[in-house]
Amino acid sequence: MSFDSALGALNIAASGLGAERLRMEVVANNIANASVTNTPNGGPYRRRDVVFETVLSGVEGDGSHGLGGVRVAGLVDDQSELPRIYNPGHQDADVDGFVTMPNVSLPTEMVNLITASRAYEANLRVAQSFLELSQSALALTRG
Amino acid sequence: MAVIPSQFDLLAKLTDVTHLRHQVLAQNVANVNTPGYRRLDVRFEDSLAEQLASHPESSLKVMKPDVVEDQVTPTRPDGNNVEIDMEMMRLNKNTLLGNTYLQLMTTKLGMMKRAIGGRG
Repeated sequence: MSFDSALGALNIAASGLGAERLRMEVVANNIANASVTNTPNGGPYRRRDVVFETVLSGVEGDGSHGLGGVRVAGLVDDQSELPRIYNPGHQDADVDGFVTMPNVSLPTEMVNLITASRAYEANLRVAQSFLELSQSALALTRG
Repeated sequence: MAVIPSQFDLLAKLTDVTHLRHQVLAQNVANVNTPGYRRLDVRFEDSLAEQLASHPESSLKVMKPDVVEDQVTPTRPDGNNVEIDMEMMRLNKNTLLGNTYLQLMTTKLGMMKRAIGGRG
């Protein structure tokens, strides 16, 4: 058992913290771009989503039991329909006066934000309790 | 006469299992938003009790904790069955148990130290 695997729970909690923080960043990016109708790729902004996947690492018998935490598999564009609103004065309006807007909906983003921040707190709590336990274990070496 | 205090091996083993369970709970919490993830659990105490009941003198070295997938808890629509509140409770319980085992070991070590020093 290596020293790194002795800190396994801490590494796993850290992977969770990183993943949830990225989700919060993506939510922030979605909200910031909620009314961007013209992106460098052309067309309005499409909301993005993170995809998480479980990491199963290590080999049998090294003490890690294949527990590797979580990682972000990738960012995907939400392919749902883009809403069109009537706004003839807009510079991105089509010939009928309709502007295609991003498919960002604030309630969805806020719910995702709350989910992410609660999960972040939970991971933080895991790290804290692991440190608490490790401190007690270290106390054995003191007289 | 045995030099190692009684049940010291058992306490060490249980501390080991506590450590593993902490990792498993960390894995569950980290994957609370991963679609299709099924929560993991550590099985040890029940098999230990069984083993000790049938073979009281059996060696602790052969006992290994098992990491098993929980197929019983119903899944959410995204195929994940981690309940974050339950996991946090298990985490608190595990921390408390771990601290108890370590405190018992500290006490036993202190007793030994006093015995060696010949002071009361």
